[in-house]
Amino acid sequence: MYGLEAISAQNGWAMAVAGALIVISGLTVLSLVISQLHKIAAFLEKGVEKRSQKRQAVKTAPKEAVVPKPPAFDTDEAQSRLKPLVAELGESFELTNLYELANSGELPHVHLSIRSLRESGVIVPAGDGRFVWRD
Amino acid sequence: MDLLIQFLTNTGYYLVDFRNIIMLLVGSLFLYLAIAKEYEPLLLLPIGFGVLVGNIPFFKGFGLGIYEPNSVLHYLYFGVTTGVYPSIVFLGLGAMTDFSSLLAMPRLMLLGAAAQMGIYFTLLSALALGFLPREAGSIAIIGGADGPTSIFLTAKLAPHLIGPIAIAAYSYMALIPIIQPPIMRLLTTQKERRIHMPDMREVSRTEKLLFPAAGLLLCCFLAPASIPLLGPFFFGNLMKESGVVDRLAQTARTAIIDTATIFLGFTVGASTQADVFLTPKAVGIFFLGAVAFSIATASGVLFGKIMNLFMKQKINPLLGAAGVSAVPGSAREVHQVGLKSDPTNYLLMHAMACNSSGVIGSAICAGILWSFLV
Amino acid sequence: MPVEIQTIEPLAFFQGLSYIELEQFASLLKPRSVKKGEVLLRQGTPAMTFFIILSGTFTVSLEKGRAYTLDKKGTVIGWSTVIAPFEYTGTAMAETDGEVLSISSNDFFQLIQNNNALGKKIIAKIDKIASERRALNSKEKS
Repeated sequence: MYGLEAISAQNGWAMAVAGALIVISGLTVLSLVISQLHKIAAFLEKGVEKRSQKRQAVKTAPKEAVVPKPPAFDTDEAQSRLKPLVAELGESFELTNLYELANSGELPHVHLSIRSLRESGVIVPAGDGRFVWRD
Repeated sequence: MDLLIQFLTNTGYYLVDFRNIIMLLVGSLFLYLAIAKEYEPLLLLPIGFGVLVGNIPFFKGFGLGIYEPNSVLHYLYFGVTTGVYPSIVFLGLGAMTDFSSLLAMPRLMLLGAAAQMGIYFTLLSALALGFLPREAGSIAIIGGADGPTSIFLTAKLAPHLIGPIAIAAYSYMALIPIIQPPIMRLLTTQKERRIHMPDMREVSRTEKLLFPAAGLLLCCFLAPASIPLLGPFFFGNLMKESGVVDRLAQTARTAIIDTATIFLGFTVGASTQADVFLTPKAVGIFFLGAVAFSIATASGVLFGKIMNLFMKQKINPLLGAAGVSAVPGSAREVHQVGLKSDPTNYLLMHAMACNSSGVIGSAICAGILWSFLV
Repeated sequence: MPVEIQTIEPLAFFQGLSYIELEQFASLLKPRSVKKGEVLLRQGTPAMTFFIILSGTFTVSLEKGRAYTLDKKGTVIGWSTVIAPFEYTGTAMAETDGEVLSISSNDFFQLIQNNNALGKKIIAKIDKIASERRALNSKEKS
C-alpha cells in the first residue's frame, strides 16, 4: 500500500498531528516554567540568605572572639621578594618571564604573589601585553 | 595444493563483490571528508573506518561479522542494539552543555519544538512510500538531526535498519554546512537576516541548578519513553552545574562520551555490510533523510517568521534553523549566515539556545514515536 | 601536551577571563612549533584554526604584494575562523622559528557549548581584533 491510503491505513495522520502537538505543548510548558525559574531562584536565594544571616547573628560574637581570622596574604612581603627580580627584567616585562624567574629562585607562592600584586596595583599592564612595576 | 586453494577461496580477494567495493569507496569518502576536509571528524572518522572493517568480505560462519553471534564486533555492537551507547552519549552531552542562553531567553525553546516538524512530515512521507509504521518512525527521527537519538529509536523499532539510518543521520549532520544555508537564505529576506537579537541577561547558578530537575520532570512525565535519553542528559547537566562533582562531570564530558562515540561510530560503520546495507530500502532512507533534514530546517525558520507576526520584539528567523539538535553544527551555520548578512550581527549565543532546545525536543519525539509504535 | 594556565594568563587576549574560563580554554589549546618559512594559513582557504603567537615573527601577506608583520606575544592570527568571512583574509608565513598556540573551529564551538558566557567574551575580543586588523589592512592599502 502506498500514498495517502497507506498513511490513513497506518493511522499516520493521527500519529503525526498528535506527536507534533505533544512536543510543541511539552516544550511550551517547559519554556514557561523556565521563564519563571529566576523568580523561584530569587525566592530560594532569599531564604538561604535569611537563614545564613540568622545563623551568623547567633554565632558571630563568640566566634569572632575565639577564632582568629586567617592571615591575609602578605602583599608587602611579596613586593619585597619580587622587586629585585623585576629590576633584573627591566622597566617593562612579561608576566611569564617574572613567573619563570621567581620559580627558578624557588620563591614561595609565586602565582599568588603575582596575582596579589596585580590586584593591589603594584604590577600594572603597560597596554601592549607587557607589565610595569609601580611602587 | 587443496589447502592452498581452500585458503585462497577464503580470502577477501576471492569473496569480494561489487557491493563491497561500493561500500569500501563510501568508507574511504567518509575518511577523506573527516581528515582532509575536517567535516565532523569525530563522527565520520570512526564510521568511515568501521565501514571499511565491515565490508571486508569473509567466509560466513567463522564468527567474524558484526551480525554473527559470538563475534567480537557483535559484542561491541550490543551497545548499539540495546541503546546503551546513545544513553551514554547523552550523559556526556548533558555534562558539556551550558543552558544559560536558553534560560536567559526561554521563548527560543519554541524554535526547537518547531524544527521537530520535519520528523512528523517524514513519518507521513515514509508511510506514503510504503515503509512499515515502525520503519517509518525510525526514518522520521532522522529529521531530529541527532545521531544517537536516531540510533536509539531505530534499535527499539526497526533494528534491521540501524546501519542505513545511522549513516544517513550522521551523513546529513556532517553535511549541515551544505544543506542548511541555502534553505535559510531561501526562506528569509535580507532584512530578516539582519535582525539583531537583544543581549542576554546573566543567569544565576540556582537557575542552572533548577533547570535539569524541571526539565527532567516535565519532559519525562510527558513522554516517559524518553527517559533513557533525557535521564542521563539532565543528570550529566546537573553534575556540571552543581560544581560539587567536577571530576565526574569532567569524566562524563570527555572520557565517557569519547569512548561511547568511538564504539558507536565504529560499530555503526561496521554494520553497513554490503549485503545488508545496499538495498532499495537504504536508497529510500537516504532520500527521506534529506527531506527530513530540509523540512526540519525550513519549519524552524518559518516558525520564527510566524512568531514575528505576534511578537513585539522580533526574533531573527535564522535561529529557527538551529532548532534541529545538531549541536553545535547548526548553531555555527546560523552564526555564519547571520554574519554574512550583517558583520555586526552575532547570533551564536541565541542559536546555541535553540540548539539545546532541539536536543530535548528530538529526544521527546523519539519517546513519543516509541510509545506510538511499540 | 596540555597548555598551562600560567602560559596564557599574562597574554592580552586572555585578560578579563576567570580562572575557570582560562582552564577551559587552556584545555583545548594545542602548542605548535613553527619553522622559518612555514605557511601557517593561506588566503582564501576556509578558516578552520586560529593561532596565538607565543614567539617568532610572522608576515601576513595580502593582495597586490601588501603585507604586515606580527610578532607580539599573544597576538591572534586567523580571526576569521570565528567571524565572517570565515575564510583567511591573508597568508601568514613564519619569518623566524617560533611557537604558536592553536585552537580548531570545532573545539572553539565546543567551548562555547560548554560555557556560553565565555563564548560571548571571546567573540567580543575577536571582533575587536578583526576591526583593528581591517583598519591595518586599509592603512596598508592607502
